[in-house]
Amino acid sequence: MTVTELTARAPVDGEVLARLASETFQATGVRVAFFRPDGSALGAAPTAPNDAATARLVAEADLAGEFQVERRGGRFVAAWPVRRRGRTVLVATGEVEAVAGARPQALLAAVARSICAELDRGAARAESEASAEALAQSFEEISLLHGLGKVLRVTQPVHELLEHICTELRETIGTEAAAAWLPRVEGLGPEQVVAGRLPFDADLLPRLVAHVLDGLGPEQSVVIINHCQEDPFLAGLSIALERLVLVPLSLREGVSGALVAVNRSGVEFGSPDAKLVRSMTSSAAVFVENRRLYHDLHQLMLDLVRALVSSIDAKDPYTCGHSERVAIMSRDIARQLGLAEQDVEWAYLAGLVHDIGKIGTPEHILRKEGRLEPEERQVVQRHPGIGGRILEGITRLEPIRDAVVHHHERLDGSGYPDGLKGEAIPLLARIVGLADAFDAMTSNRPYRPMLPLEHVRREIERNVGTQFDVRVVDALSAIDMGRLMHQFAERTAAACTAPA
Amino acid sequence: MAPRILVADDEAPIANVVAMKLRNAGMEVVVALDGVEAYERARADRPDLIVTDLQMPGMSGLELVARLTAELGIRIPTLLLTAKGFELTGESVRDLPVCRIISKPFSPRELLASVQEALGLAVAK
Repeated sequence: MTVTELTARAPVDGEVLARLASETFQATGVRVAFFRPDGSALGAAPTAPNDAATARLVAEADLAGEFQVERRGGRFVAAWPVRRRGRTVLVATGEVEAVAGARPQALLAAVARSICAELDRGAARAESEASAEALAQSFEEISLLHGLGKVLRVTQPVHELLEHICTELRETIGTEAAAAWLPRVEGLGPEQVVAGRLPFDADLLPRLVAHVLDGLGPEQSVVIINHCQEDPFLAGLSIALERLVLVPLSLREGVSGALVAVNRSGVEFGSPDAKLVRSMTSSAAVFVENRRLYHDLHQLMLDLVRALVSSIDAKDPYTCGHSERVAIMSRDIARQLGLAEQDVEWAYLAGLVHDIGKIGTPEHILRKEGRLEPEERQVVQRHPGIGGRILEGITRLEPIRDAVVHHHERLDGSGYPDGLKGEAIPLLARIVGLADAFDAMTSNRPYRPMLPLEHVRREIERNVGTQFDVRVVDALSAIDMGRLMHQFAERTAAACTAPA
Repeated sequence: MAPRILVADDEAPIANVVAMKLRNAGMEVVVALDGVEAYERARADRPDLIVTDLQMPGMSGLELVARLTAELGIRIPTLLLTAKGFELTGESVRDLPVCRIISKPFSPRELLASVQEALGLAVAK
């Protein structure tokens, strides 16, 4: 409500006027009544003289713009206008008996002044309240923007961020719904979030967005539609769709999603609303693109690692795809163990690079078909240590270094390179070690063909407590082998020709 | 019975915003525009909760709470609403019935929620 509206309203609040009239009468004996400039009565004033003479006096006071008083027989009647910004808002009349010795005209004038002052105070209070309302709203908007700054984290899922934005936005501008939509692009989407209730089927949101964006001018950054029913398409979505604010969320390919605020009873949408939505959308767009960049870089890192690792694996046709399989298995075991998402990720990476040290193993030993001589075995057993030294230089892979160095340790301490025992062996190393052994047994080797699954299981069970950690073995057992083999086939078949 | 709140802030617009928000939620609100007035009103009215700024003429918000607690012997739950929100340490409000420190600019919605929460707790006790 604008200040003008409130100020115009305040003096004609029936309750206030009735109270004023009653208080004045009790204090002074003066009967007060209120009229609109056209002469019609305001508020309940049963004792007010409502006759032609009074109407004339009211009109005179309005015209003259000042206090008028006249005597009528045994009474004095006065009328005075209450004006705001040069316009007469109402005319008050006062009536009092003429009593010998009293000074009725002076009394009426004093009452007039007092009533004007009281009405002015009321108007001032109303104005102050309106200011407080406006200030409160500004505070909410500022808090909304500050709050977003606190919540943005690159590792946060896009969906969560959009939910935060829609929920807070809806509360701050007071709409029935606030929604976000992003199309499917590289590394993202589609995403749809709705806070509150849309006046149409939520499935239709992408079409609404497409329709509105279609009509977007070249320089236009916000769309405000206060009369949706005048648009046939929007009216077709729902007769309950009244008004909306939409801001396109532009992605780097040139496509756009959008943030939309829908329906608010009372005040139409204007630039303050649009600017707020636009501000939220900008923040969201930057966040989304950053997240995609992060995703891109992460994928690049993984692809580079895979390329490097498969070049090492490929030196020995029997181990082609081995690292990828160990990675997949380690990841599944980690997930099965209920590890945090980040640790599951580390398990995958650890599995991927666990044999990277084999780059330091001479090819003639790597490719040897028969059993290894003791000195040759010693050379091979250097690969975990070499792998660790290679990874020393890569800060990003620091958390998995230990897993690489210790993936050939055994629970009973008879492993290598350090003979670590039990809990001293990092969990990731125990996981990768098991996955490694499993893949070795289920692959063809020059000195033996791949072992049947049942045999492998029994062999592993046999070595629980000595070589393997029972919890890790249990996790492996719980994995769906069929699905795992399918994943292997998908990921490694293309790169490798199966050895006979 | 409507909860009675004392709002103290030397910036009248802010006090008005807080008062308006709380009154719209059905609470009785008394506004004081300086520390001394706040202290006197609190002593006289024994409000259910105090929302106060920190820096006020006459008496700071912290002093206000400290003196009321020491002299009245009762602990009136207090929300500090202040631009110094990030600088206050746990030390400065230790042993005082300060249930929350809200930094300016604040969300009136959140302030209302905090007041209601604090009152809820007080009632439960």
